[in-house]
Parts: sequence; C-alpha cells; structure tokens
Amino acid sequence: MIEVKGVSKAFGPEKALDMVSLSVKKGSIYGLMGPNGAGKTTLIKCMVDIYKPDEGEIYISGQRISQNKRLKSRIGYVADVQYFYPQFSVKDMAAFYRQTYPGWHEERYQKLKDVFGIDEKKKLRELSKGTKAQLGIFLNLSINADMLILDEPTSGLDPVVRQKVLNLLVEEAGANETTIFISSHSLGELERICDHVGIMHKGKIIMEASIEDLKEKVRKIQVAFDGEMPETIALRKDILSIKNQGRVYHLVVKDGISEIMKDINQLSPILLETIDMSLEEIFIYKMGGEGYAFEDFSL
Amino acid sequence: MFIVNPASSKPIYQQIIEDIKEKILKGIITPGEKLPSVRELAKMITINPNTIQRAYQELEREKVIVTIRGKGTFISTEYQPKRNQEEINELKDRIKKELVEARYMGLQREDILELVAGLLDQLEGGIEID
Repeated sequence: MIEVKGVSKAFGPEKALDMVSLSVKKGSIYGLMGPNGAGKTTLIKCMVDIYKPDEGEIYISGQRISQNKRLKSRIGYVADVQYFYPQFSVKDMAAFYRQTYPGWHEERYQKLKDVFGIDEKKKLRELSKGTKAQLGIFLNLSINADMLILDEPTSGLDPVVRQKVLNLLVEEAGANETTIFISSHSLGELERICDHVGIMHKGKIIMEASIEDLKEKVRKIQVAFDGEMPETIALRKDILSIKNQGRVYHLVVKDGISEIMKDINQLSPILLETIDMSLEEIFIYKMGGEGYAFEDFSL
Repeated sequence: MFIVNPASSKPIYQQIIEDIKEKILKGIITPGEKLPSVRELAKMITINPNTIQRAYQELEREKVIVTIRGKGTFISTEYQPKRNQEEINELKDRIKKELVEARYMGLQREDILELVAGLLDQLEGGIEID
C-alpha cells in the first residue's frame, strides 16, 4: 500500500509537485500518465526517498519512507535513466543486488535470466540501451519486492520484450500481491495492466479513476440539429470540449451523461448518440481542457 | 483464445464478457467447460487480474459461469442467453444505420422487408449465412 499525502516539492521558484495526494492498494497496479514535465519522475523520486518533499508525507505499507532503510530494501525501483557501474558485468551487478536486498530470490533470478536471455558475462558498458532497461526490470523482479516503482519501464524495449515485461508485472501483482506503481506514455499498455490510473499535469493530479469507471466517466456524444446548435448547450459546464464537422457536433462530456442526453433530446436533435472513447482519447481531451493541446500547425 | 483491444472504446472487462458470451453462442466454448482462473487468464492476455475478476463477477451474476470452490470456474450448463434492453437498443442502432444505407441505395420499404424475411427464412432453414 502506498499513500502520498499532500506532497509538494519545488526546485527554485518552480513547483514541480503541488499538494499531490494519492493512494495505491496492496496488489494493485497504478498507472501514472501525464505530459512531459508534469512532475511524474519527481513524484516517483519522492516515493523512493531520493527527493525529500518540501511538504507532506509518503507512507509505504503504513510506514514513513523518509530515511527508512529497511522499508526501502523491500521496494524495487526502476529509474527513468538507469545508472549501472560500467565496468561491472551483469553477474557483478546481480551480486550487488543480492548483497543490498535481503529479499533476493536466487531461483527467480535464474528463471528470469532465461526469460530475458541476458548474458551474465557481459560488461554493462557493452549493453545496448534497451538491454540495460531490461536488466533493471530483471534485477528488480528478482528481489521479491513488496512494491515495484517503475518510471517508464517499457520505453526503449522492443515489442516482444515489452509484452514479456507486461506479463511478468501482471503475474507479480496477481500471484505475489506486489503493489506496482508505473508511469508511462503508452496508454494502451496502462489500460491493459492497470486497475487504477491517474493523470498528472503541472505538478497536480488532475484526474484519478479505476480503469472500469474511467470510460464511463468521460463519454463522447455525437449530435446534429436541423439548424444551428442551440447556444445553451455550449454554455454547459459538464461539456469538456465541442468540435464540429459541418452540422455534426462531437461533445465530450464528463459525469452524468444521462442528464445531458435528456436535456439535448428535448431540443429535438436530428442525430443523438453516444460514442465511447479509448484511454488515449480521454487523455488528449483531458489535457486539451487544461490548455495542453496539440495545435494545428505547418512548417 | 480471448481477445481484447485496449484501443477500443469499450471497457476491457466488458470486452471480456462479450467475448466469452459470443464464444458460448458460437459453440467455441461449451456448457460445463472449464475457464482459465483469473490469474491464468490475466497472464494469458496481459490484463490486470482485477479487471478479469470484474468480468468473471459480472458473468457469474448473470449466471453465465459458475465458480466451484477449489475446482475452478465453469461455463454454466443452465445458461440461457436472454434479452437485455441495452443490447436490444444497440441492435436497433445498428439496424438503423443499415436502413439508412439501404434507403440511399434506393431500396423501398417492401424491398427491405422482403430482404429481411428472406434472410430469416434462410436462417431458420438452417442454411449458414454471414
């Protein structure tokens, strides 16, 4: 279980985290998404006690993480940019983990070595970027952690390995009740493996939902009227965005879809239907609502 | 065996439910057959175990599957596909779209009715159509 309570962190005048609170249940997989520079990595670094928050507290399994060496030895962490001693071999690195983490599980390590197919004798400076990324996941899965905190773990992996890693994570959460916190830009991936997701923007969590509720929370309505669309619709606060192609309007609606459908129906539209959205679409709309949108441009 | 598409706008648990029901209707999985456990299926199709759990719970509530403690999850032998208002509405929407298409093709009311009746005859006569 992870509990983040009112955490803020500033670098100079810039607030990287602004009163962030969230909680992740045991055995749950939580996916964090957000545009570049939203504060995801800062939050993760606070969770693993690399950064000290200016305000707020982080509890893991009910204990404060700050300076808690024993607790930290139960947490697997894959950083966004991983650092390994370049002159070490894979075997040396494994020995380093074996020494550092009391939960080291030799049998798992041997099994995973076959799964990933990494040559133990190779020096770390000889490994490609993707292989290094694999090694980080491989070692952290070998320490039998209670908690895995992964900062964009699948970026740089080829599709086959990516699939393997996702499978291993699902298995970890299901079989060992490992709590997993993962940040990613691959929303399709998050949607598959997570049960909860959060969207971060400018240091704040702007939306949080279980994966099942999410798609029911944000919906798209397709509507057309004989003449102009009545202005009252555009003024509604529960509409996140309005776009049109000719007479057909697409409205993105949050919460209470039945209410808005009823209201629109009374205005006798010639077309009115709901369209569901993928997580990717929800994300883009949500970010658009926050003023972070893709503007049409040409060079 | 089970297919989910995260890019689809349907919640994944819903996709699993529909996929299982469809496979029963098509006879690909038969009453009494054992389904993979939540964890097995999670790993098989790389989906969060809680999402699978939710799908199984829903299917169990609808009596499509039964879980026998210590033995596993099975397709119910008493499962009768039943009409559900939401599904009927969806079907209506789909038919509506096709009807608009038919009108654009210049088919008249009688033509369409005749077409549908013909297809129904074929179906009931046991001839495969798709």
